[in-house]
This record gives sequence, C-alpha cells and structure tokens, in this order.
Amino acid sequence: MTPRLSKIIFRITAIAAVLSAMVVLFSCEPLATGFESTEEAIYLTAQHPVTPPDTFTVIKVMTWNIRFGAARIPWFGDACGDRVVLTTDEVYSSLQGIADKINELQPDILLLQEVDLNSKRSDYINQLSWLMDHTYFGYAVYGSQWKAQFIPSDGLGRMDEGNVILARWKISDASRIQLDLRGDQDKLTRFFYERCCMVRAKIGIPGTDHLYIVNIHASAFATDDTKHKHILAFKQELDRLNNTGNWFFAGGDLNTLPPGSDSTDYCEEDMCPGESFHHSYDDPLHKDGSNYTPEKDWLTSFYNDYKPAVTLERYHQDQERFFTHTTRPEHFWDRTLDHLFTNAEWVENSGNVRQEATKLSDHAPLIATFRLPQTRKK
Amino acid sequence: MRRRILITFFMFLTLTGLLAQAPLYLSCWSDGTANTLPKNRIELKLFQLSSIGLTDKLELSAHPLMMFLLPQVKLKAGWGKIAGATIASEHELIYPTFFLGVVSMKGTGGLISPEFHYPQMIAIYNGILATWGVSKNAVLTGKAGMAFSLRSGPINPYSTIDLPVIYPRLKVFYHNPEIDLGFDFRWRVLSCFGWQFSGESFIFPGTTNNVFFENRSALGYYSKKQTLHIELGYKLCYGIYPSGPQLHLLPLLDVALGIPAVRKQ
Repeated sequence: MTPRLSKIIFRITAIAAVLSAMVVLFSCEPLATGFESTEEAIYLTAQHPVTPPDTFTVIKVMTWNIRFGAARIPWFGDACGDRVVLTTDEVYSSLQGIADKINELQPDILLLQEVDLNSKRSDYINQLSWLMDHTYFGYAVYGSQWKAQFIPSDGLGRMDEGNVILARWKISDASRIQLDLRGDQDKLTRFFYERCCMVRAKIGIPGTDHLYIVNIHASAFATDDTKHKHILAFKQELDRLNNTGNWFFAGGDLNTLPPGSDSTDYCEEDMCPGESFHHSYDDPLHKDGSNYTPEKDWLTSFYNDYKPAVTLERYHQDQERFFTHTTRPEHFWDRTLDHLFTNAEWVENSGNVRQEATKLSDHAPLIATFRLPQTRKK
Repeated sequence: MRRRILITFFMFLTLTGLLAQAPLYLSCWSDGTANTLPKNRIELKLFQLSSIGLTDKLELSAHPLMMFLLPQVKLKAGWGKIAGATIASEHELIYPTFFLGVVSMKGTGGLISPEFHYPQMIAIYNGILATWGVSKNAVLTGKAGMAFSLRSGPINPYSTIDLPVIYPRLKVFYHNPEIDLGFDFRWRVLSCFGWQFSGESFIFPGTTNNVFFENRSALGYYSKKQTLHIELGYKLCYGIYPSGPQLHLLPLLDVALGIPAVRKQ
C-alpha cells in the first residue's frame, strides 16, 4: 500500500473509533429496569383524538386487567398452561375483542392492568397504541411494572408490561409510584421480576377541579407481606389525596377479596395437574396467590372510609354476580379481585361486572358511573 | 441443580465466545486476518474457537468443550498473495439443534420457551478474506461471505433468541441466505500491546429486519514468545430485532494460549 493510502486508512479508522466511542457512551440500557420511588408516567396522545362531550354530570369509569392480550390461552405463568409466546394473530384477535368490548361499554375513563408495550410474549405489539388507535380515547398515561431487556427464564425474553389510564380528556400530573418489591424471592429472580406500581394522574374534565385517578396492580403471588404492603400503600395514597382536598376514584386489580367473601381458599380451583395442597405433607401447604384467608380484612378500611363501586351489601347479597376473575381457562368467574373506590359519589347501584366477557381475559371488566363533584372538596 | 450449573457454564462459554471472537494481529495469531497458523501451532482460547495449523496453509478451528453442546468446525485455507494481498478462504459448519434444545426449558436459564421444538439443522458458511499490510505494524483485512442453512423440517418463527450477537447468527436458520461483509484493522502500537478495530455486517436479503452491524474494538496484550494473548474491549451491536431497532454495548474479554509448533531439525 502507498503511504498516502495508509494515512487515509489510519485516519478513517481513528474517526470511526471516535464515533464508536461516542455511541458507546450513550448506548447503555440496563438489563432490567429499576424505578425511582416516584417518577413521571409516560404520556401518550391519540393521533386523532375524539372530541369529548362538554355537558355532563356523570362519567363511566371502568377497570380491567386485560392479561396482555392473552385472552384465555393457557399461559404457563397463571393458568397451568405450557404457552409462553403468543402469535401475532392471537394477540391481535384478543385486542380486537377487548377494543370491541370497550367501544360497546363506552367508559369515559379506563384503568387497565397488564398492558404490554414491547414484550416477546405478545409478539412485541404495542398494545396501548393499538388500543388507542381502535377506540375513542384521546389520552393515556403508562407506568411500567415489568421491564427487562431479556428475562433468561422460561423463554420470556424482553418484557415491558404496565398499568394504563385512558381518558377522553387531557391527563396531567401523572406519576408512577413504586410499590415494595417481593421479599420472598432470591436476588436474581427479584432483579428480573415485576415491580408492582400504582399510576396516579389528574384528569382535566371541564368544570371539575382536583380530580385524581389511581390505578393499581397489587402483587398476585407474593407469599410474604408484600401484597399487604401494596394495599396499605394504596390506602395511604388515597388518604393523602382525600386529606389534601382532592377528589379521586381509584382501583384496579388488588388481587384480594372483599371482606366477608364466602370462599377464601382457591388452592383446589387453581391446582395444576400433579400439584397437591392442604395435606400435612404438602410443601407449600397452599398454592402461591390462591389462599386469601389471611387477607380477609385487608380491604375493610377501604369500604369503611370510601365508597366502593359495588357496596358490600350488594356483594353479600349475590357474590357470584360480582366475581371478576378465574385462573381456569374454561371456567366461569369464581372470585372478586378487581375493585373501584371513590371519596365522591357513584351513581347508586351502577357498579357492575361485565361477566359476559369470558373469552377476552382472565379478568372481567368492572364498570361504574361516577357522579362528577360540582364543588371543591373541603 | 447440577444440570443447571452445567448449562449455565456452557451458556456462559457460548455467549462470551460469541463476544470474544478474535485476538489482535501478530505474525502467529491468525484470527481475523487472512493469515493461517504455522503447521502444528495450536491456539487454545478460553471463550472462542481454538485452532491448530494442519499445514502452513490450512487451519482447523473448533471449541474443545463447546463441541459437545454446540458443534462448530471451521477450516481456513491460505491461498497465498494476490496483487499484494494475502488471501484465504473460510469454510464453517454449525449444528445448533442440540444447544437450542438445551436452552429451551422451563425456569431459570430458559432462553427459549419449552413450547418450541427444533428440527435438525446445520448452517454452512463460506467466505473469503484479504489482508493488506497498511504499514509495518498494521494490517487491514476485508471479509465477505455467505451462509445458508439446511433443516429437516419447519421451524417456529417465534422461537428466536432475541439477543444481540446471538440473534443475527441464528437468523440464517429462519431466513436463507445470509451475506456477511466486514473489515478488520489491527495495529501493533507497542511491542507487547496492540489495538484492533473491526466492523461486520450480517445482511438477510428479502426479509424486513435484514441488517445487523457489529463494531468491535479492543486493546490487547501479547507475550513476546507468542504464547499468551489477553484482550479487553467492547462490542457495539446494532440491528433491527423483532422488537425494533436496538443498540447494545457489550464488554469483551478473551484469553488465548499459543503453543508453538515444534519443527523437526
């Protein structure tokens, strides 16, 4: 090679090395994402938001755990199944069903749990964007609760799942509030595991000031006091909003039963083939996440201090009518895990579980009509 | 538990091996250039393929431990000098079926969902290398090649391992053919230290996510007797994965032992 050509090669290599070094400095993404105790949620706006009505005194509010578009497919993690990665057609088919149900029920504000943005298990489909494109919601906020570049377990791979608040009106002051991590896992598992959270946001409904929404997905499978901590943190947040002169409605998948539920142990219902529980020789004695007996009073203070969408009186009259969940793909709903509360008013007896949606998720949507407060809370 | 530890160990070897690749250029260290090992010289590498000079112009590479989990054999043939460049061809055979079956499992270590099963598969790679001396202490290598795969049956398109380095190297089993283009620049800065800077692209014509690029840079130490080589650097990977475009920065470490050829007097 000529000396001139050699010089050119050296120079090109040096420039490329410097450019690479610059890219290197800005390319660090953690393997699994941790979160601050409170951080700003992610805002999304629909490409063509539908103009909301401007004269109204009530709005419809709904909460729904949509199970990342897995419908009733026997997924390995929650339904004794062997499926891990869903196909594109399966996810879109499920999302279409969910969007159809939303469009039919027409909630004005929707609290969703288990929404995947970019997860291997749901073929990397951005479910939030898709739902916004196929419903009428103009605004959304998202708080991730399980985010990892690659989970080296069961073929899960990349994961980004979280809680969402969708609304017809603009959303502001949206925060993702971290809940305690599970204390019953080894460090490696915990590093890659979900980090449960609440999403809190202020909703800009004309004529109503200081109205907040809180969406929670509490731990489902913790065997220690983690779930209790999550519920206490949720109560604490509602108390804080209430005591600082704000209106709120709040709810989500609390993963615990209303007080006074007839059945509190679902180990047998949730048992997978080959499992055994409740015998003296069984270890563990109960299936993780299926025994609610120690949690009987965890929601009592919510019912005492605030107004539930479904009152205990109605629930106790006909519990089955308000069941929202089952782990068994071919079975009807068998327990109530999803709840809505407010410190304002629900339209009487408006709280209802849409139990006909049996094929769209392992949770049924809970919907209620919220009476908009006309005055500032004192 | 013991099985998991073993699997983890072999996975570590595989992943670090994919990251490590080639040591810096010296007259004997041949990887990354069109040079071949002298006859009977052996290079034992911790993470990447170990090599032996079968003749002065023919080099055979394989991983002595990983051979049982992820068989991979490479033959490099030197074709001498043409128009001032040293020319060599590379021919490689990879059989990943067993490895993919092992990491397709429940629980920790499961890189792939156990719901997927793989057919018998092999990939065949053929490439050509041309190395020029840029100066007394620096060489530049250009590389081009093509890989294609053969399968005994269909493969589930969702069964991919969507990780940098691994995904582009296994993509050929899902989409034929693969075209590789790359360059490698090696510079002996001091007598015992050198610097390497390379780039490699994997192109899959006819697919949507079809380009992957890797940039590698490392500083290396090599002993005067050419018996030890250590290198430390990074690998920067860019590609359009099933989840979208991604950029990854990965650390790079490798150790190689050179066993000189014993020549009969």
